[in-house]
Amino acid sequence: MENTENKKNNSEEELKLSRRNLFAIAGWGGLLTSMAASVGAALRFMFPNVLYEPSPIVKLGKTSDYAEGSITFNESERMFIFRDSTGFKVISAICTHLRCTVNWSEINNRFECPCHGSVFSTDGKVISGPAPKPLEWLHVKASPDKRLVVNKNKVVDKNYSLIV
Amino acid sequence: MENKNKFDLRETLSYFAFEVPVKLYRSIIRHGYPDSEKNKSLLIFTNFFLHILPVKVRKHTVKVRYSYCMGGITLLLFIILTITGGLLMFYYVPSTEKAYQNMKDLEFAVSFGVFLRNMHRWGAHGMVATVFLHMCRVFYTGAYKPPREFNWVIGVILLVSTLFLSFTGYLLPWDQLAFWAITVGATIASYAPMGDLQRFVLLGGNTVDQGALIRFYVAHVFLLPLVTTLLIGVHLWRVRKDGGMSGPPL
Ligand code: HEM
Ligand code: FES
Repeated sequence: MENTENKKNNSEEELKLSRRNLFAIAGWGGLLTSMAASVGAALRFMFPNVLYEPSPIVKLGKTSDYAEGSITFNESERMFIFRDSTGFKVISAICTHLRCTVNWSEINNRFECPCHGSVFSTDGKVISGPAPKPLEWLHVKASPDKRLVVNKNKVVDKNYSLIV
Repeated sequence: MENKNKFDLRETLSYFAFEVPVKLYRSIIRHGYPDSEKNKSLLIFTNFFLHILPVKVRKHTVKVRYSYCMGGITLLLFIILTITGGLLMFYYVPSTEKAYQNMKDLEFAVSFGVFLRNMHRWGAHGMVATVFLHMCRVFYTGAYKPPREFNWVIGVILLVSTLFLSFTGYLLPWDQLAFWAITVGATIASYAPMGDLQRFVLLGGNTVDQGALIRFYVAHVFLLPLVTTLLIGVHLWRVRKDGGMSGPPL
């Protein structure tokens, strides 16, 4: 009986938190927590919430400006505008490998990337090179004033076409 | 003693002519003429700029063909890059509207601008080359083995920070080469796990634009040089602590 009580007292004493330990834990805990919070805040700080980037929705020329059967390259918006007998299709000129701008090769009738040599067919499929995915077809519609409006963030099926 | 406050021209003159210079000299140089072993050692380790060097080295370590001084040349290039880079900063503004024009000004309108710019550019290419050759030398002499394995680890971080310095500096002229190199480089970052997030934080947005330029600039002129300087300090300190440069057993 006596023995067990002694034991109990001992272990209680061991568990007892001394004033010194309490302050040490509080001090280190506070320091480490505030450091972790600062690092977290600094990391979050590096991700901007407001971007002053150009809108992904761009307005191009009048639908009547594009001749039937033509392929027009828009360099600043990095896209090709296909005008066929029924309407419009827009394909992104951003190479799916590492984002260089692909060229349209009149002679070979295909897209060729100058950076690492990826080749894409007229419908965007990869023919050769490091590009892992076909070129993206972009959503296009006509505005009330009969101009093309392309949404660069909206990828559509390769059969999608704006009928005019 | 009595005439303590009386002005004595001779004494005053001799005080300023002889005692002050000697006092000044002694306050800076705290060892005797280096003709004894002790004073020779003191010469090195009482001087801030020399104390990083060992007082004594083994004979083979000063042979050019042992290290080809590749680490030393890397350090020299880093110092040259810091100085020339600091000067270029007086004319370069990290703005997409001004950067390219500033580079042209440095080349055509600023005295010695083209010289400084080329020193910085060639120095940068050189540093990437020498840091790599230095690593090869360390490998071929087996200098990465214990007790130097941790210094190899620091070396790897130095290699990476050298490459990042090169990469971030590449964007700053804001020319076609810069733009497409960073377009490609940032897209490579998006192939790693967490992909687009990495590209986003690297560029400070989704496009290579002002946000990306200022990020690369701050990394190039502040963060990376700071990290590199600190690590070079630790690196050289470790060479000393690991018993000087490696070599055949004594
Ligand atoms: C900014 C880049 C670097 C600088 C300025 C630098 C500088 C130096 C210097 C001055 C030395 C003395 C010996 C010599 O000159 O060869 C040295 C030694 C050494 N470095 Fe580096 N280094 C750099 C990068 C690296 C890299 C990339 C590695 C390997 C991954 C590395 C691993 C070592 C090791 C293990 C030693 C000890 C060699 C020995 O004792 O023989 N360093 N470094
Ligand atoms: S970016 Fe087009 S092939 Fe690499």
